[in-house]
Amino acid sequence: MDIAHTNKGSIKVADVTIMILSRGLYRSTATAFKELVSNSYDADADEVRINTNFPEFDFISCVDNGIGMPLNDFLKYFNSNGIGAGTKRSGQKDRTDIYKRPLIGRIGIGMMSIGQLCHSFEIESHYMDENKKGAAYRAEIILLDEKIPDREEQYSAERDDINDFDVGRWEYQMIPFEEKKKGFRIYSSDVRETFTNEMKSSVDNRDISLISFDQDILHAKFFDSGNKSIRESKPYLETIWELASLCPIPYYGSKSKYPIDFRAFKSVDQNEDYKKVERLINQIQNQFLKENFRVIFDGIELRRHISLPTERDIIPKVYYIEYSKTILDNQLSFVGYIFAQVSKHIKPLEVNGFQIRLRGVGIGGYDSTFLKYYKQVETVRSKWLSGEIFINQGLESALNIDRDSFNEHDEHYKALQTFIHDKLDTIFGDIEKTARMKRNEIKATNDENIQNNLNTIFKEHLPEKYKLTWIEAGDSKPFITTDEANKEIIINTSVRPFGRKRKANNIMGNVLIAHYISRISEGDENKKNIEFNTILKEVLSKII
Amino acid sequence: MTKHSSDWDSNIPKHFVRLRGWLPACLEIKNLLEPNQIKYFTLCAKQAIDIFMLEKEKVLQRDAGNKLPDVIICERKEPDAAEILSLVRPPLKNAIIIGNLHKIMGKKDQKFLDEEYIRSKEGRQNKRNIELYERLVAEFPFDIINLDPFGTFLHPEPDQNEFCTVLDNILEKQSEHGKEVFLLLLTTPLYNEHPDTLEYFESAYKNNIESESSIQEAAMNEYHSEEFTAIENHSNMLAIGLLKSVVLQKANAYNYNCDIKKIIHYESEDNKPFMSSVILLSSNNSDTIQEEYINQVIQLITKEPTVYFEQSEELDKEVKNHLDEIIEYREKVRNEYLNE
Repeated sequence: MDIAHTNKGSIKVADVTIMILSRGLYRSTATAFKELVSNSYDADADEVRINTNFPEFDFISCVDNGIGMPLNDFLKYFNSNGIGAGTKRSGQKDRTDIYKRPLIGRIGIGMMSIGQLCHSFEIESHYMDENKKGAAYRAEIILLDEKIPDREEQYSAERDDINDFDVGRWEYQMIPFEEKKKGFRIYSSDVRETFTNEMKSSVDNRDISLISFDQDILHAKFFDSGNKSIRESKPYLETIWELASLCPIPYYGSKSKYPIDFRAFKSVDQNEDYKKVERLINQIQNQFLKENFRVIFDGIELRRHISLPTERDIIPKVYYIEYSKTILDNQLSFVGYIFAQVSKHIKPLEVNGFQIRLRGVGIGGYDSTFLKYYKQVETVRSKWLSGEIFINQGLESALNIDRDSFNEHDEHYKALQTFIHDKLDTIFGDIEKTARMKRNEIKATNDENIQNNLNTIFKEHLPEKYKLTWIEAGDSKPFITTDEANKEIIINTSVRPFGRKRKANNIMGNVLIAHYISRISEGDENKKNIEFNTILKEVLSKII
Repeated sequence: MTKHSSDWDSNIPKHFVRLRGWLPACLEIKNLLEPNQIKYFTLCAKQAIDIFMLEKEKVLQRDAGNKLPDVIICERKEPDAAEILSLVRPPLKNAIIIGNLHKIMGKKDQKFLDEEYIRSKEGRQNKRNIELYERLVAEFPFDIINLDPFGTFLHPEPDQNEFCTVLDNILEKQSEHGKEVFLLLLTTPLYNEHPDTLEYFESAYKNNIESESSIQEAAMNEYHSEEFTAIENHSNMLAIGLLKSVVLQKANAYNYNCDIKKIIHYESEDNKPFMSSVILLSSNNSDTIQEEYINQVIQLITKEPTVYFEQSEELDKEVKNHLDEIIEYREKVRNEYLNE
């Protein structure tokens, strides 16, 4: 088929597995959009704008100002070789031409992600051709929703037929080149009702007024609202948060506060790991800022909203990770951080776990299983951790076709997993120790406070001129004695009738003191009993 | 003299229309309706210059959330809709209505279609148009309606012309909502008209002349003749014919008086004539409506249109400077929401 003269045809796929594309490969709306963003990044765009026509969600557009997609590439994609036979990273090319960004896409299936959100769409590309002249085309792509064979039919098909399934049709026409429109655009008003309905149902009139283009307000929605999960913000905001967390873009906020607020660390905790993590985060942030890549979603410039610690009154800890080794002739190297807040849960829960970033892009969300760490399955301590792992080299072969998960049997993945698990063995031990220390401190403080309160109560009820004294006089001496000469009631704290049961000892002791004080108070038997009840009630309300 | 460019950011004649035609009238109606917020309906074209001009000149104002409410855009071309969204969001609060206005307005009284049909692309589009119609009518009434479609209002049978039908629907909705005063900015090409259009206009003109002596007198004073062809200039004939036989008639049918503030003639880059008219409509439910109609016809006949290519080079410079300021303002708004 003569590529130059064909202007319509059917969409072929290079592999039967990839046929699933038009049925939906991506687990969420955000991951579908992520693919479009990745394409813009790979095309050296410095800006990509996604619009969903909020709050009606009946139109989707993605407009970038990159190098565009030459017509020949479009025709190769849809026509001669089929989708999935992409050559984005064939040969030696591993970086983009202009900004030298690490190329994200591999086999060229990302554009079809919009098929998950629309029945059909149009693309428009304005680019410089091989003669450095401006050229442009517009194409319509219609996906066949119903006539695609299902999985059983695929596998039962003759071998020869496997590569010959049609999943849609396309048609293009050349249009005048416009310098201002240089780049690539996708748009569709043929949006799937499921997308429209889901988004619309998550936005009411109040939201329409309140949803802001302001980053600070957005951040507060995610982190300061007290929500346990981003999901509580409902699908629209959830999509924004998730998309932002996956894109190769900077963190929200100022360096010293986000993603980790280093001011939460006392000087004594600013160890070697702390310094390395601080340096790493600065480096990562600077790198993203330098890449000059903006993602704007419905007018909101996205930033990665991470804010650690997520609670007050915790002990923050941070661990630096670094690895570099050759595995099966391929280098695997990564760096990252693991943050722990002892001892409260990370909120929202979407930030609990580890996110792996490959070429700057998040692969899946935060994995709260810590790459299936089996020793701390859904424990309290496992909820205290959040981390990011930045892959510098390797792990590509482990990436699944959805680019949102890994093949767990890949050697690089296994090496990463083993390393992380070993690290976690140490980290969990360390945070358990810290948690115990914190518990003891809190307990000691609480005990002291309680005792002070009790002393106050007793003093208020003591007969005039008497005072209470606490001593360790050995367990052979009585619990309470009175020194009449000095008007002193002496409490022997060595006496512990319940042995190591602190609470029982505590209650018993204070009841006895309350009884003793009431006995030496003035008045008849009735009055002494009332006094005893009163003191007892006050004391027990402090202890229990 | 500067010629029309298809890039609105550098199209001087079109901006002349905005600056000298639309803007003064918009400011006037804003003062009239103050302190109420202006509600604006537009087919703004991809560079959204009218919106930024009106915001810059404070005809349109942001709300407490720093958003631009009460601006409803309708755009038929999806590539242009993508462009508009990239420019106007933020601060635009509402969604854009994406579709052919005449197809949308034509969905009055239609119900949802059967399941089998809406599984096709055509069926889905039809369903969308029904939903868009519901959405659009819920937005009425408007204070300013900028009807600048890609298409002509010229037709010997206005009820057969999609844009005239749209105009009719719009006037009906405005009237239904009891809108007492609003501004209509109506733009149309003045070429490629149906061969019988002029004949239709001529016939209507003749009827007016024969039935009303005051109209006859006005025609004689202005053109020294009762003949329609005495208007001479083809563009003028079409403009007067359209405004009189379509706009005034339809407005009259819905009990609106028309005060034609301005008629501007200009040309496209390939020398095709266009007209933009600025009309203030005010409701009139009294017996004087017919008398008012006659006065409006006289006003139309005697009104001197502004012709862009008769203006000076100094004016061109003024218009260009103003346009540049709006574009600069638009870029400033775009960047306002970006992180540093």
